[in-house]
Amino acid sequence: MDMMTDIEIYNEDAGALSATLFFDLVKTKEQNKENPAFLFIQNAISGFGLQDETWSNRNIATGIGTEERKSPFEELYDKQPPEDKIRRAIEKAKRFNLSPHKNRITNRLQYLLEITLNDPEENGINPESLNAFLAFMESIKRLKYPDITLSPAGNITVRWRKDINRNLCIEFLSAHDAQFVVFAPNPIRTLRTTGIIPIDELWKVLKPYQVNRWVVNK
Amino acid sequence: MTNGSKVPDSDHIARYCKPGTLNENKIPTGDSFYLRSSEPSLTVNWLEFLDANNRNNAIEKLR
Repeated sequence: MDMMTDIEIYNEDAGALSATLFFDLVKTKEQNKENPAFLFIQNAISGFGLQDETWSNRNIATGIGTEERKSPFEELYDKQPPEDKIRRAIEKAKRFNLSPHKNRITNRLQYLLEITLNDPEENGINPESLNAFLAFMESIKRLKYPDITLSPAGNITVRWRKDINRNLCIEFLSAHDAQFVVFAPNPIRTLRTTGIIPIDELWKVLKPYQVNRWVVNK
Repeated sequence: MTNGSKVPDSDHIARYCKPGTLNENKIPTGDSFYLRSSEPSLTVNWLEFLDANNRNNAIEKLR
């Protein structure tokens, strides 16, 4: 059987690479070592200080694709202290985030990071929550600048409040889920709704409450 | 004073709000009133019990 190799390397976020390799599963590590692509990837990974043992055992010898595994770069990212992940996310946002409020947002995040570092009782900022928040702010055009605070769990929480009947609060629980509370005006009684939903669905769920009328700049 | 003691209407209570829970105008938000891991229920401090003579000292003791 001919060796089949498919390689993708892409810039996942600032300074980090993520690689996905598909090697012919019948080939051994020794055989794969003859493959120029394998050597290229191995050299690239060693540049990031990753142990050859981790790479070879988990991704080559056991065969990628037999089950979903984290790439070596993702494992490397996971090993970073949360503080480093936060700093990197803020730096990345300063350079690449498309939100019109990015300077104010990154200044606020920098402040929140500093106060959590100075308070031993603070949980610190949840990196997944931070990244989800930054992506959300970037994804909705013309969002007004919200209040940005930290929940006791270290999640990023944002609020827009126009008046007693127009209130939206979102806590980014993880990379995928958010908890929200929305108050919206209604002829009879104020609508009050809360829930935990996938972040991708958040704006769709909020749309009937017409939050875009007071959360988004015209 | 014990848990459940009644606070006279003339007295005051205060809750320490961590800086990260305040908005940029230093106003407490909903995050300020989340239960902390050490709290079985929302807790406040009886300011007159902390220092009946000096409000600033009483507030300082909350930190």
